[in-house]
Amino acid sequence: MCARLSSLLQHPIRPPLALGILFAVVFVAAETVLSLALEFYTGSRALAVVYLLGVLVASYLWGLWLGLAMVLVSGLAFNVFNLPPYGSFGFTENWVWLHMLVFVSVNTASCVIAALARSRAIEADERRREAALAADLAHLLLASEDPGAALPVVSRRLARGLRLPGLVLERGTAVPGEGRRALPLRADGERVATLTYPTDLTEDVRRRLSDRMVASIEALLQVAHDREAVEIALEASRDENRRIAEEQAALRRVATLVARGTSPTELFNAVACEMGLILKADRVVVGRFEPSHATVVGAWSALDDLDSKKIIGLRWPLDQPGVSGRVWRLRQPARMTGYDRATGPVAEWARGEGIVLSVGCPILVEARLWGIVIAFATDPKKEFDGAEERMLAFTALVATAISNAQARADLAASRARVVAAADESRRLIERNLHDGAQQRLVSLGLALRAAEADVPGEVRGRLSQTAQGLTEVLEDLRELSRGIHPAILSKGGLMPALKMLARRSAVPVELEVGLDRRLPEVVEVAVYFVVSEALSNVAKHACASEARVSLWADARAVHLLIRDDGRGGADPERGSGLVGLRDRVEAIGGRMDIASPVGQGTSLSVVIPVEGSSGPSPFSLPFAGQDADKDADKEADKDAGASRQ
Amino acid sequence: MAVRCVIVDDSDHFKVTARGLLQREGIDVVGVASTAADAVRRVDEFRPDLALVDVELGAESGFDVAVRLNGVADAPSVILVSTYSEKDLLELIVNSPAIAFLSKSDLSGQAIRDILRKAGDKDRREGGQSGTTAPTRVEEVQDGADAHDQPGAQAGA
Repeated sequence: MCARLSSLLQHPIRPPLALGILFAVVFVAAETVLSLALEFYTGSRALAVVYLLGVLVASYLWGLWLGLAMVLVSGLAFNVFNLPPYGSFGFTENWVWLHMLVFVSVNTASCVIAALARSRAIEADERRREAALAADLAHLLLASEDPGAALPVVSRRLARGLRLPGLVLERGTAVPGEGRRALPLRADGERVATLTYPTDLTEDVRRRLSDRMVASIEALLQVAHDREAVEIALEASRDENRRIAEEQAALRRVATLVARGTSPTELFNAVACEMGLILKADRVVVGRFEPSHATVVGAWSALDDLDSKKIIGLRWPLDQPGVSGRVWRLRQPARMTGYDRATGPVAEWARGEGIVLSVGCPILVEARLWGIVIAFATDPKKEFDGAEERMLAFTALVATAISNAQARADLAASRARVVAAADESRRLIERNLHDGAQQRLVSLGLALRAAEADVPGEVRGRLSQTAQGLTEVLEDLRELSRGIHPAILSKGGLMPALKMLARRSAVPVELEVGLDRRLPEVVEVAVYFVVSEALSNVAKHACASEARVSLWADARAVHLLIRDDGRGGADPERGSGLVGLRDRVEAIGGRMDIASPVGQGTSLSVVIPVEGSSGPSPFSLPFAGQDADKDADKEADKDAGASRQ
Repeated sequence: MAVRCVIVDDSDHFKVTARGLLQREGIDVVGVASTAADAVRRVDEFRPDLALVDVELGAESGFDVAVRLNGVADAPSVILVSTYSEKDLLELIVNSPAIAFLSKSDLSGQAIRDILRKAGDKDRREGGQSGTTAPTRVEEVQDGADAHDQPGAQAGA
């Protein structure tokens, strides 16, 4: 009841004027009757104050003008009916003018105050509504995930809150229809929404709208816009972080494989796999460039990984349509869609596999073109957006891994070369000693002996002593030569050399040799010196009654096993010449293990790879330096020329 | 009758010295050769009783020459010679058809005659019983060298 009254009193739209006039007439009549009745019973004219009631109501509900009209009519009625001369209008008698003056003044003042109160109450109510509306709008806009999508709801709430059904808040730039106007709403200087309203709004409402509501809605939109921007940035940053973390993890796995000395194929397969997972590709191939083709060295497939490995070792010509040729010529990432019309083995393979898109990225190791990584998609929906950039970042780090592996391989090769060179120079020294000094000494000895026959007895004796001395020098030289390089090894190979070692050993040696071919010299020399040192150790330290030397070779490696039945307990890290021999064995890619439990003899096992030990490292650059680069440049020029024509 | 000998060695210095020494000590050096092909030709030409073959002939191996000479008609006895001592090459020598190894510093007419005599004895022993084919060891030859001073029987003669 109270609320309804309050709502009625504060309703911004006034009741119809006709109703007001009727109200005025009826009220003035009723008040006149009432005041006369009161005056009759009380004898006091002061109760004519009841006229004030009608003025207040009229002024409050219908406004100042009707209120003032009411004052005028009430004054007239008061003068005619309540003041002498009764029944007619006049100011002259008994201070009538003073009565009238007080009546009109009080009523006019009340009328003005009532009108003012109403407008203030309405304004206060409006402000309260606006505040509530703003709070609602803020809630609607800011609680929503997508402020743009919340705009229709906001628009309805706004129209309801402002009691303007024609008000519409729209996203972006909206063109107002006929009979409507638009107010742009901006955030960050950019028009994000438009408020449209009918042109028939009162000036007052329009001002309220543009002065107050637009500002607060703009502020809200700005906040929502900022929040959206922050969320987008956060999400992007989260994505970026996740991507970086994934890439880092992938690289760590690759780096671990490199550090473990994994075989190149396994390493490149792992690189292909990691790249495939990062790019969400269907297939990935790692290729190594050679002068006329790219050799597939690693592969991965999301569907059938085992099957995908079949293409490893294939050679893809670089002069036929395909990503690899383009990357080779341009030294930059390239992509290719549609293999329908392309010819050549690559295109055939791609068609067979249902590939619709491929993106290739060069692997540059130490600024030189080493190879290529190609990601393939069989799903036409995949676009590999920005894949080139991610592949470049990843391949740059893979290149570091390859470079490390290459450095390791190069170092190993260099150690092997150093050992081989040392062996070779020892062999040469032995050779030169033999062919030079020893040969000369032998001839001198023979010449001396020939001379002996021609000279008399005393001199002959001295000559004979000299010849004996020469022979001793010769024997010393031979001993020296033997330590430098065993002649029998270069002349007869391992078998007789080991037999010689066995024959000379102080401890009886049982020799089992299962070799059907000569081994690389560096391997023979290593085996010889290991056996020699081991047998010498057995004689010196092992207190053994027998030693057993077994040597056999399979397609990939030479195996040497030396056992004795001595007291064991040998420490391979200390003292013995085995440390140097271990270095020699490892330098040529082999392994040496010693087991020497106390009381159970010592066994020394050596495995030396023989296949591929002399070939180039699988990691090394496809071809050396400048020429290759020049060729590539030439190719690139040709390519550019072709496309110009 | 003096032992007729061909020296196969790639060192001219040794060939000259050895020839002088052996001639003086009663061995008739009928020819010298530097290569395997040369050696075969000389042997074919002179039909010597003996070939002194250096283990090393530059790129060629004296062991191979020994095998080749062993295969020709009327094959001479082969004694391998070298600057190396016998113990450096023993495992190769025992597999060779040569009848002995003689270190160059021990080369003398007497040493050669002793080797040939021992080989002749052994041939005669093996006439009845086939057995070891190991060549005579120099040490064994030297053991008896002073006792018997006579031209050895020519192997294969």
